[in-house]
Amino acid sequence: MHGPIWRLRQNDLEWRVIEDEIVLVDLASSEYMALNGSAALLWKALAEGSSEMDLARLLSETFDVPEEVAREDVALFIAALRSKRLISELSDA
Amino acid sequence: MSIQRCGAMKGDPGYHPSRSALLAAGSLSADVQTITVLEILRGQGLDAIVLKGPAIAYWLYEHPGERAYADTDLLVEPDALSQVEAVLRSMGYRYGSDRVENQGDLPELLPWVKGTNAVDLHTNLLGIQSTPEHAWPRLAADPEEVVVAGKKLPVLSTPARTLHLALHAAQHGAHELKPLEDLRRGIAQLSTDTWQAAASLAHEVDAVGAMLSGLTLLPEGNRLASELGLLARSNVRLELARAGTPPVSLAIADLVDRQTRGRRTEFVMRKLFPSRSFLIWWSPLARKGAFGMLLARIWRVIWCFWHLPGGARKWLHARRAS
Repeated sequence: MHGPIWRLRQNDLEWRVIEDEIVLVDLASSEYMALNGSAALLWKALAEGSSEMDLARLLSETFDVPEEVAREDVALFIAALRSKRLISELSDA
Repeated sequence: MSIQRCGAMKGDPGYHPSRSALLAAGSLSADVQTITVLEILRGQGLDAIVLKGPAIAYWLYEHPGERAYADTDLLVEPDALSQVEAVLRSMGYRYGSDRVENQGDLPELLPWVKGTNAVDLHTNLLGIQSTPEHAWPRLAADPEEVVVAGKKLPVLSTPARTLHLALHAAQHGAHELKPLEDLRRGIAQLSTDTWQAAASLAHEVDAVGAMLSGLTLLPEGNRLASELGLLARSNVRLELARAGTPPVSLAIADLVDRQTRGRRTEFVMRKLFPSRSFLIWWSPLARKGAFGMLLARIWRVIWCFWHLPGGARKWLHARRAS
């Protein structure tokens, strides 16, 4: 059970990859955000659609942090993106 | 524009976006402005075509963020210019001619500003010698689209955009890196057929000289110009452009390039008695009511004749050197 698949909102959202950073604008709220390396990594995965479990694994493997810590970080990150309506749930895996 | 900084890990060190990231945020801000202006223009039944910025970043760069831009450039139908300007005024923009002063002869560019946001209106592409009315239907034919934030933005056809790469490089010369990088990528990525189509368009709108000036700023452009048969033409304009020569010298070269007496007369009249929009850009006098406009028209004629001897001397020098 991997939980729901999250994906970036498909409209009114534009983002640019700048080496290991990402800059984005949400046209709906006129908010700009800059994402550092860890957040950009997850953002790119969310562009394709990903579960929290898979995101945690990706974060853990890339930044060499325990998977349990990564899971907590991902949960917080997902919650932050959801509160800004930047991602939506695709389906239950 | 404020930017929220975001990391995904509690243990992340303090994050300060890089300069490139901040420039990319500026480009996104320009995109938001472009989308907004286009939507309002469309609502009024007015068309505009996006030049440069996203039209190039999404075309020739793997990641659009590699090419930063800060403003919106729109090509508008010459007959609709006053309506488009009225829309911008209603949106809080003001005519901002100070922004482009001392940049040379820019009759086709009309800058509008709102705070730090800028929209440059173009009725023609710099380097095209035919009138905006003649050029518009050819430039606006078969427009394509780029998608930004899920919104479709109209851009020039591929041949017209390709021509613009060379004209833009020619406008800024050898010391402005961004147009040269755009041109370098265009030469590397686009087929000879595409460049041939751009050269045909250049012939139609009387822009072969400027296209050649742009291409020959790069060694690979020189080879391409030769392949396209452009180098067979006189290179007087090229010598002038390389020397950073004043507009009057280039105007003399343009005049000589014209084949018929009728076209030469039309050209001289247009230089001596340019459009109202040009005069507003060109002279502060023209921005001071009807009397100011009249004075600006008189001053334009005096200015042209005053600069004619020096311009002619430099043109003769370039002709000898070419």
